[in-house]
Amino acid sequence: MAEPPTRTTHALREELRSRRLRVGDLLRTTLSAIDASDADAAPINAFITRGGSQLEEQAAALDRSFDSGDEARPLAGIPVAIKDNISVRGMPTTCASRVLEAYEPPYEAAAVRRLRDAGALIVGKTNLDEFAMGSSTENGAFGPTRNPHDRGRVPGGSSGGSAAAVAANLVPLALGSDTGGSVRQPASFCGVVGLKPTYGRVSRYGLVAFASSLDQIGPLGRTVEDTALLLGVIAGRDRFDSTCVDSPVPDYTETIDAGVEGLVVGVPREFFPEDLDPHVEALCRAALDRLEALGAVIRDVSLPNSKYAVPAYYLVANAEASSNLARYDGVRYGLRAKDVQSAQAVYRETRGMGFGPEVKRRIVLGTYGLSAGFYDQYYGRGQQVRRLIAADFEQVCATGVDVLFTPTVPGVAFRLGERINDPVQMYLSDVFTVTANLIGAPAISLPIGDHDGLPVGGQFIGRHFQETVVLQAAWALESTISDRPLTGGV
Amino acid sequence: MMTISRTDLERIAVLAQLKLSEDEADGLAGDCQAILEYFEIVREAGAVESEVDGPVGRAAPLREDRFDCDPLVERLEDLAPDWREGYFILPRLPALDADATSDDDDV
Repeated sequence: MAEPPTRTTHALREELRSRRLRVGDLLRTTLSAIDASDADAAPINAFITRGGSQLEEQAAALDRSFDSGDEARPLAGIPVAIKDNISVRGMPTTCASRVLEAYEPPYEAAAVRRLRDAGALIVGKTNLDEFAMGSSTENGAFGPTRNPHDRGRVPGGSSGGSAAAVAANLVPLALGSDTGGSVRQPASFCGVVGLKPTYGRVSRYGLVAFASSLDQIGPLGRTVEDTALLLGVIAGRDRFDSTCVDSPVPDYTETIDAGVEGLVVGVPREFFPEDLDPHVEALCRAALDRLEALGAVIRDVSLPNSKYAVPAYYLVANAEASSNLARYDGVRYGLRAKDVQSAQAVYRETRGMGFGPEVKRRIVLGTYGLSAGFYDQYYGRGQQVRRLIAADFEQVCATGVDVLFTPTVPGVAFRLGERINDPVQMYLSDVFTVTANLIGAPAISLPIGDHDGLPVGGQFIGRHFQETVVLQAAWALESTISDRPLTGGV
Repeated sequence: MMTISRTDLERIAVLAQLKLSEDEADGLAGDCQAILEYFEIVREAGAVESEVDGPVGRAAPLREDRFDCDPLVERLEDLAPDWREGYFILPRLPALDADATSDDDDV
């Protein structure tokens, strides 16, 4: 089998344009690499669905277009994987749930449509925690995804399949969704770059709703520049998503090398607690030293209410999830219980057999938090704390801070099964990522080193719609790191 | 501190239209209690008017927890003129065939 391509998207684009590489060959090696990654005794299991024969036709058409010199689209011929909670026409959307068994969406997500318009090849749908609820990609109907750096460990979640696919060099780019860190946390565990855009930057039309006030589709790539390129393709107003903001989309790659001279980087002390993994802290401090050497101004700041971020996030997210998932009743989508005697029994039986344990746990907690007598104590309180955290962030920005820098996750990837029976510990994986979702700000995770061969990620959080600044800071830091793990060893 | 009893859990499962086995209900009651205890920390946070309540209070009153009785007293298939594999069989609308022809023409 040919070796899977290990080049960046920018390098692949150059090879395709110069015709040193043909789209058909790239496609075949990509699909072979995906198959090979699952042929092992400990398969990575990054993909739920692999693209079919129509991909060969698309690749042939792209090669003809390149040959004639007419092909100039930004992602022409580039294989891209899509998290399986994002609708792709012609492929099932499972959300890694039995309740969506055999469901195939009759339409395509806006982000996927933009990828196709940009010439990308949609090579498959990636594994996730059921309905994107989880931090390890263990909570799905299709088995766990394994971390390419250590197959005994989780890839993070919920976009673990997308992050593992990029880390294992199966694809150069992938889409995930980020409700509380589901792009950035797996990016950190797998040693790739993952970005959560500002709430409203990317259309969510075609993304299966989990928590509607928090969800965003986000890009994953091997480098900051590749991730910026993918963001530029999927960002922008969409008339099918009323929360998508009509704000100009800059060319994120054009100014990415602007540098950080004079950039004020806030370091929130609450994100460096005493029990933080010392290896993670050391790598973060080293990253800050390098930023300072590049001319950035490092400033100690405080977000005092961020200590309430995880419970506030789960109070809000679970309530919204319990409402959004009410639609899976056995009537409108996928699975339906058989041999039951009433409509109500169809709903209860279908949901009882179709949802997995974590989804049931969140539906119960969300319903409890919205029920009479508890609404103010739980959902209402979560929203209040959310306002306090947003006020902290606004106050820090008002002092001239351009971006925040934090660890993405308190540690490295944990072992498969280690936290599956301890939901509170699992939720604490998101302790540094949920803040950006609660306030709707853009945030990126990039590799800043490793500990015993396991990647460690650092996170920049920026002001709303300031993805350009976040990407410039990340690119500058990335440029100082020469030994970052680019491959997961497939 | 709030506690969630097995009875609370069964009531919530009905509201959420979720059938739980005995084992699931036992496990969930313990898990939910541990999670709610962890959530208690948000009570320490300061007060603020939330987006939910707004400056003039809640615009719409909250409804009571209620699950309306199933209006169907007969089996679904007994109500259907024709029934196959869990679906109602209905006469095909001529307009659908017209649409299909139109789509084919477009292709």
